[in-house]
Amino acid sequence: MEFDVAYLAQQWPALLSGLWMTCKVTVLAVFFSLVIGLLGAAFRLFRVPVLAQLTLGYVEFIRNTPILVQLFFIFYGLPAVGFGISPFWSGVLCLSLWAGAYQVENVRGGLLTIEKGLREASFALNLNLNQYFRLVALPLAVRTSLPSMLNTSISLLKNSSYLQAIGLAELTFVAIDRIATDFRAVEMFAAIGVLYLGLVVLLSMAASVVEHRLKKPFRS
Amino acid sequence: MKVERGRPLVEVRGLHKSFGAVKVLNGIDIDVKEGEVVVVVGPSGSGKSTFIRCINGLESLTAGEIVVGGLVADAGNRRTLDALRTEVGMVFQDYTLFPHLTVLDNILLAPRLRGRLKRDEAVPRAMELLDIVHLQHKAHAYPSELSGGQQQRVAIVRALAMSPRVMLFDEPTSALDPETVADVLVAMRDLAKRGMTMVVVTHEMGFAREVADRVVFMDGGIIIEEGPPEQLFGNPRHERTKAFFSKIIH
Repeated sequence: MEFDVAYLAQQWPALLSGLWMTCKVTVLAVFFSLVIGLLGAAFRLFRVPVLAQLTLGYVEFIRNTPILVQLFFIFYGLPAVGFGISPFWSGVLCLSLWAGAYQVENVRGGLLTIEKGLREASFALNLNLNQYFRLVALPLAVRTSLPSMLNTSISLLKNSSYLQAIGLAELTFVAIDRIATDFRAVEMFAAIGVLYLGLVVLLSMAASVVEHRLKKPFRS
Repeated sequence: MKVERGRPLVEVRGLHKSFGAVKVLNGIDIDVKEGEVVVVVGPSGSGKSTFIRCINGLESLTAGEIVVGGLVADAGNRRTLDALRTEVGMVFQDYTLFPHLTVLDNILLAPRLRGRLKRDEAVPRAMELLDIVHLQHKAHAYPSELSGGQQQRVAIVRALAMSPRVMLFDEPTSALDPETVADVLVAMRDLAKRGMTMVVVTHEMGFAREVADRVVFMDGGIIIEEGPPEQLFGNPRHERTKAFFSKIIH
């Protein structure tokens, strides 16, 4: 069986719709995971009672269980207790929670590198804790942890292929669905491999633009 | 806020400070008058830094009282801490400028937050202050583009931008390259000439001799001896003072 380029051209619309779904889920989940990361890191750093402990437990739970188990728990488990949500939002929720746990650690790592002196200088200038966090600590922490935040986001993008298991019509689902009827596994997996690779490259480029802008103050 | 006539700007009474079981300050009593420059000297570990950190509420007091312009200074006292910190400026040993902000934005950050000023409204005054330390041309540079001495001068301006009535200096030249120390000391001397009330912890004895109205010698968490520089340097009364100065003045 030869590599059939014409077949791929014919399947292009289906692949494109899968690609679009993958992008939508990824963008939403990256956004929510960053929100979780910033909040969780703040809870941990400032030792907010209860919330800091909850964050710690959440991070440990996510890091020590398979993502597929988390996905099935959300998609099959939640409806059993009356919280049924669509495959799309199950996917977004799962990926957000999964990546959010890693982003908490990424941001926290960045915050830990900030010199103690900056905090004291901020207080001496009568900034309160909130202002210090927002205007001093966070911009510096994000700069430091940007590479690891990018890594987590790339993993999130790749892990979106798990969502085929709950029937969400993203890129991997489309490929498997087509292969079931047309048996063109080589073409299909090669095609989505290239598409995933392209997305990761795009994501990395976007991150390096952000990194370049944030680094500006530090060049001399 | 007006200070009652004749009442010292900074009043320290029976100040004790412990970190756990370690007693760092064992009863400090001192007044600083408006416009006075007090230089605090002493061996390392004598409690000098802890003492001035108590004055702007970076440390809570174990016992005693500090009043600055009628405001109680104590990290544990949230009620007066806000007002206190706008009255007391502080310059640290390692010029702690915000690395992600330009010189100008470093200076503007606190006044803008406090006065809810628009950036443009606050710029002229910041530029004026920068001129005092001869760094107007660096207004748009980032801290990493400045030498240590330049950064420290910006740190002085940043503290001045809050219009404090007292300036605290915690070994402001100790972390600097020797060739940039002089510029910082000149900036501090200029500030003193303008009548700023200053409490300075330093090992720069030349500065103390020239600028201080009063030199305070601390050891073991208490004030051993204090007086005009010529008296302390020339004719110290206490044995420990003598021993200290004989070691550092050649």
